[in-house]
Amino acid sequence: MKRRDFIKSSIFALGGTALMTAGYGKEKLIKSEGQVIKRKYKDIEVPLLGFGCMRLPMDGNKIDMVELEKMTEYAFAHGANYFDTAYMYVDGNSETAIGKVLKKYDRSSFILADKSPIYKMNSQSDVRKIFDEQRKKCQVDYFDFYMCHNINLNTFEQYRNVKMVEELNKLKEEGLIKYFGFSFHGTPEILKEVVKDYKWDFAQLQVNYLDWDVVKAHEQYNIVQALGIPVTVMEPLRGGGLVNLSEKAMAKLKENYPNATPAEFGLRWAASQNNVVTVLSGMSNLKQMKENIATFENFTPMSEEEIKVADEMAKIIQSQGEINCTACKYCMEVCPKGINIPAIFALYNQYKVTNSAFHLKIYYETLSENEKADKCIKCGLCNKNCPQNLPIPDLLAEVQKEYEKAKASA
Amino acid sequence: MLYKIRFGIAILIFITAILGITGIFYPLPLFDIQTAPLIQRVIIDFTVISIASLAIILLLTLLFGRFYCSLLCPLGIIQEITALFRGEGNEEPRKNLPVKYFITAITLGVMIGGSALLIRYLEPYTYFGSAFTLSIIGIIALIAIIVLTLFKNRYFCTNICPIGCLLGLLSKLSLFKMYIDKNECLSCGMCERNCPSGCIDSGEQYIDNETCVKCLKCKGLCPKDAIKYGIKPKEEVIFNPKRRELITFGAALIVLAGAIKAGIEIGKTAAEKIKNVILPPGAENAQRMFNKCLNCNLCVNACPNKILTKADKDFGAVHIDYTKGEKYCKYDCIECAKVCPSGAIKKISLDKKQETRIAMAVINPDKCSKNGACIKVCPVNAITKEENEPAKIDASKCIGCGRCKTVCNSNAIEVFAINEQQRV
Repeated sequence: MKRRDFIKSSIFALGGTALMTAGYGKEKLIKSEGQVIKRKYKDIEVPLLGFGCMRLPMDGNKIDMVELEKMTEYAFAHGANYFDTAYMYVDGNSETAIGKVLKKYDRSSFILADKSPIYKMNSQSDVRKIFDEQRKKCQVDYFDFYMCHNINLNTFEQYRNVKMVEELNKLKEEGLIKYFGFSFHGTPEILKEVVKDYKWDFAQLQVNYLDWDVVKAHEQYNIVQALGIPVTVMEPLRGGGLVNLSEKAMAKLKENYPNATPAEFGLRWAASQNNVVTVLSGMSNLKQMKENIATFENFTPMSEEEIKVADEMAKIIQSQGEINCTACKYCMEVCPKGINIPAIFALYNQYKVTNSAFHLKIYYETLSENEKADKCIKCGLCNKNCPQNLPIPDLLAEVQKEYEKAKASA
Repeated sequence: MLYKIRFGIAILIFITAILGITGIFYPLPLFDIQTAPLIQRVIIDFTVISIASLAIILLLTLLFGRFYCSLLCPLGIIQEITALFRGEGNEEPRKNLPVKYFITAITLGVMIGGSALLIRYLEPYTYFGSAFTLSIIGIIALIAIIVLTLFKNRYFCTNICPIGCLLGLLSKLSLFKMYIDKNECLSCGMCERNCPSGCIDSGEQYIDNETCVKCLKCKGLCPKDAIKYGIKPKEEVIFNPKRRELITFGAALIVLAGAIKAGIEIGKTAAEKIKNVILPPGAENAQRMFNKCLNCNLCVNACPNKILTKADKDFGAVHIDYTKGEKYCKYDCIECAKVCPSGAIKKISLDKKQETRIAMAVINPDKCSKNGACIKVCPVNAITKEENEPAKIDASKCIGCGRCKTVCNSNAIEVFAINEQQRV
């Protein structure tokens, strides 16, 4: 073959391959045997387990796209096609990553939820600007579920000032948002105000057996239920807090239900509330996803006895004086000193449960110098962002004190 | 004649440079057209203006040779002035040593990789800047270069300076060259004895355009007017790399590649531990500033409040010290960003500067004397106070200018360094 012929034929071959791959485009859905149970919501069906995209699988500092791909595939195969992302998740990379993996699937085959970051809005026009940015990042034309993100004590004023409801309602009328709701981390008093603002399609609340009391989730739930607003559940396991149970709480669970796992128990508790559309769980690897999906394949609501056990477990956990941090990392978005607040609180909580000063000391010392609690300057910027309204600087000082003690005793 | 005109312009530029660097009078952005900061600016922001400015310098060099060294480079002009004291006619031709190619490859490579750590200790513009702002390294380097000049004129330019080396390579290929008209030349050696770069071999009737800084001195001295500055007639091959030269360049290229890689590593690790430093608005974070600032200290004198300070033992680049000068950063001032020629301090607008948090002020409620003095001076209205209560700072508004601390009579306010400049 002459050189020219060779080049010609290779170009044809390459072009052909490109055309073929383009033709295949969308991935075919292969359904497997076990399917996540679905609940009817308005005119669609929503899987009872949703994929929360705040704690995506990580490979160092980057999102592990290979694992994420595997997880999405598995989720689709089992009918768990609800994805819940937000502007600020994973340092703003969650939307892009989810957009990349969902691109392969037909738009009607998945339900995508996204949220409008209130703290980013300086004027009413910003709402649409950021909405368009989000559509671009997620590579979609419309969002099925869309929320005002994290309405709480501190953001409430801004949320009203920039007229988010007005602006987002326009988007809904244009068909770019199917269902319009809000995610909420405030007090029942504020919630009563928020529900007046709009005929909400849904409310995203922090519902789990511990927060039922702690953040007055019960009251919040009742407020929206009375108005017939369905609930999507976030933090059903408190960012893993209800998975890594203390010895006492674990003993309580095992004593009554030796076969139950804490994750399964927590998820079932949240899903057992009848006004709940879906329970969002932030899954960080395929193993967690497999377990959670198994929980929802043959889901049965909790019996009264089970709920009683959960109540008792909540009391045990509350009595241990742990910090109610869900590791959402919103504080770290703003901390000017870059203190690793969630990690410090996690260490502290572990210490509260195990009472091992030795472990507190060695784990605390694995943090880098700049991430430690003593770098806190008490500016209070974090407080504004904390959905749990924790007095972070004071708590950091307390942890530091405990660490000093642990260090002295070791 | 040409020499005198050139020297005159050079002196004017030199005086302007001194006035500029000492902060007395800065009429034209003279430092924006210095080669090393321009290269740095292209690396940092890659904007049309920076690329175009650098392209103009390089293209002019390709046309006329190393004019930068004798016309714009302040350090070059200092050497020329110094050389006036070493008498006339005692220069010697010198070898073009290949060491400089490696110096250039290493320093520029590391800079391209992301760290100005090496270039700022070897680059003429910075030496000039730091010496005239009384930085110890700058003064020592300047004295060393002056002393060197008294022994061997422009030795730094021809055999050490990485910028000179880079421009020299372009000069080698330039359209306009200095050359000797062999029909006229008497080989009297007048030019050779007076050439500050030692690049003329009158015996061979040859001028090395790589080290020639186009000072034009020889042209006026030649009794037969045999030295020409223009397009060299094609009597010999213009660029004839000999084997040895090729090997040198090859080796230098390998070193360059290695240096770029090292530069990337240095850029990542250097200054990682230094976080406790307040930087001028637009510098973003300590690591970036440490890697990008050339330490020319132009901003130090431009700052009207004199809070900017030279590199010291705490931090190896320019930074803010709130214990100096007026002790706070002026709200409606962005002088440092305006003058920074390298882009280490980004050329942000005044509006953006007023929204950039460079530090964080915190009030200690136990010490607060509750007189409310800080409330009045805060430019962003971040401080509020209830009756008989200590004042409170709204952290989300505070830009860390330090103004409040200057009026506090009870020492209750502390201004803390932050990791990364933020928009409020």
